[in-house]
Amino acid sequence: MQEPKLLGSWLEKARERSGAFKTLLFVVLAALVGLSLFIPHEPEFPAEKLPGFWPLFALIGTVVMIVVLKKIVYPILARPEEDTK
Amino acid sequence: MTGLEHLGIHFFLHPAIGFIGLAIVLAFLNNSLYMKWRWLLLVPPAMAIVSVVALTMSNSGPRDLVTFSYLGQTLHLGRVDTLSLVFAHVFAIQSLIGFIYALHVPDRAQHMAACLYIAGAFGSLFAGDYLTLFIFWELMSIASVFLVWLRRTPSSTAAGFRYFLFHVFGGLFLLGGMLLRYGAIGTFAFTAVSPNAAHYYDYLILIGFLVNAAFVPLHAWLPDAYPEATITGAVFMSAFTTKTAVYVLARGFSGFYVLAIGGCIMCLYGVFYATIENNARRILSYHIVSQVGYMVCGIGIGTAMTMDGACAHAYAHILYKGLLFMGVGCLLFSAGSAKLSELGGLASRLPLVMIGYMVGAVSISGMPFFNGFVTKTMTIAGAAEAHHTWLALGMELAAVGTFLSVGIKLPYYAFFAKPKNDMPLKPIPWNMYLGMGISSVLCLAIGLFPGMLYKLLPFPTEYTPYTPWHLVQSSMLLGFTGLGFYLMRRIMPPHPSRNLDFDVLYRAIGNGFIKLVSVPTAALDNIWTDVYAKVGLRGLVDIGRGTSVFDSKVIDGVLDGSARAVREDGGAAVARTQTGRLQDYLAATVGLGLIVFVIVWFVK
Repeated sequence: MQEPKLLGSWLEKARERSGAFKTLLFVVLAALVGLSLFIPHEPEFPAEKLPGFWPLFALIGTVVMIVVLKKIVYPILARPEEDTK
Repeated sequence: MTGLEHLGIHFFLHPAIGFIGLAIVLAFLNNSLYMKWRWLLLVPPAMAIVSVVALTMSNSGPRDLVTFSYLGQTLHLGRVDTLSLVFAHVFAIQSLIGFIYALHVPDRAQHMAACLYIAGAFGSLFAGDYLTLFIFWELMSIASVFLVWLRRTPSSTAAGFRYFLFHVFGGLFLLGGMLLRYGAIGTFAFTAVSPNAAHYYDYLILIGFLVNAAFVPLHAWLPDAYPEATITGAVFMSAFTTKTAVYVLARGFSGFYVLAIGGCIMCLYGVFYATIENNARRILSYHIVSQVGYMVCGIGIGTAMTMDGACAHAYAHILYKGLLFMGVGCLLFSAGSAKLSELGGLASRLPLVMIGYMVGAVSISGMPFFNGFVTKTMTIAGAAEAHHTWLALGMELAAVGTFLSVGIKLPYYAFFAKPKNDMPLKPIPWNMYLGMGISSVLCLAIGLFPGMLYKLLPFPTEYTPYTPWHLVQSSMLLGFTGLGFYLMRRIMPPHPSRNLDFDVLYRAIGNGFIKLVSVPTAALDNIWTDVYAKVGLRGLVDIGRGTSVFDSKVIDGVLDGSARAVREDGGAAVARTQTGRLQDYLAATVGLGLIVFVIVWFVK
């Protein structure tokens, strides 16, 4: 079956404008943090009361995970690949 | 059906019957005519859907619909209640999606293996006693081995053997546990065990179940074997083995706190390995370990909300994980590789595959409006509500890692990282797109209308996924994970490698066992050869001289005649059966076993 070419070329153009998507990401993130300060909720544990807890949790979690796994764990565990495609 | 049941008439078409029947029919069909017979593949899934939907609608409470005597025991093949039905519901749907995705495959052996595998899964779901469960459990194990072997590569053959040996190991724990339990309490009834009243035989059964649930450290068979399976076989395998294990754990071992801790470890362990893995199908395999971890954790906590969360997440997981394996299967089919280091820049050439994959990716990541959001948050909220804060935080961190590896890393390096890729691509059959399309629609539909799924759940729970805070919190988690990836993108590129895991330990134990047997045997053989050469050979030579006269005069005449007859009347056919491949002998043994099973059934 043929994939739609128009959709493909649109995605190619979107890829070339990655800068716009980056700006959009930052705007959305700022808006979400702003919103979270005004939405009432019952914290399940004390740390959740801190403003910006969940954005920091995700950001620090991601950065630490990547650094520890790729820079420390991966060199220890990596072996030559078997012939799986 | 409701009316009939009110009259005391119970009609139950066991979904396994259609699949076993089709497997038998396929044995007599020819691969070259598959364009005609392939439509038969859709019949058993359609029958299963009708049967399960009818049972769900009849709403008659727990029932035991099929029993018969076998080997002096009563087998219960039709235990139907809300717990078995929620799993049966999604098994039936996924069997249809899987066979639509596999419609282009002209190899009847693959379809037979898939049919028997699904039959085993349905049989396990509706089993009311351990004996029935064991029979279908083993059918599922053996049939799924062939979904690995039938890829017919050296690495799939080796991985299939490891998979088979490990499942035999798990099956023996289950068998030992159920026999010892029978010896102690005199029944094979498959009932819930209270954590405070569990005996050693219950723990043996639990270990057998945990092998199939890919519980760390018993998990390594999964990321070892699934990436080696056939493209369509991996789609089936991602749905049934681990989820059947989740079902039996929910049925028998809820509230075992070791499962809560172990489930949380599974969530994180799978995510960690997926983050550093290069093969896309192995990344998804590690994510099965991780996602099943949420279910095992929910079962271990054992409250109504976490149990419902486990069942709901199993339902959602089967749909989105099948979709992800279908998407990556399309890449492997079209580009010839699932290694991220060899892919990239394919978004503009395979946009539909990319969109289908991304629906699965955002679903598994728990993005609002997709099915993972309405199920994963239920387990996490249930854990937090039951004051298991650290378990809830562990699962949230695993959710972050899930979006990082399956939602961003995999699609980025497969579809976007490089400029437009000019590698040769094989056209993908329409049915593979259709399978992905149906799964995508279901992932979105359940996300938008969670009530469709919640009404199937076995325990009464009040849970509202769509609150303003849930939406903002989930969006922040995903968004800031994306930001973390953006900041760290220079150290994320995958490299071709195979990362050490517990399978290395299994392989070392296996090789050690072979040495343990072969070294003393070889030493004994050497001694025997020496003794034979010095003592026995001369006497034998003298006797041989005498017998050779008799041999040449009498026996040769008879044998030459019979050998000629054998050669001319079927010797070639017999020779064809002696392939020397252990896989073929295992298949023959299973066939023979089924024949013996049927004979005993009728003789009884």
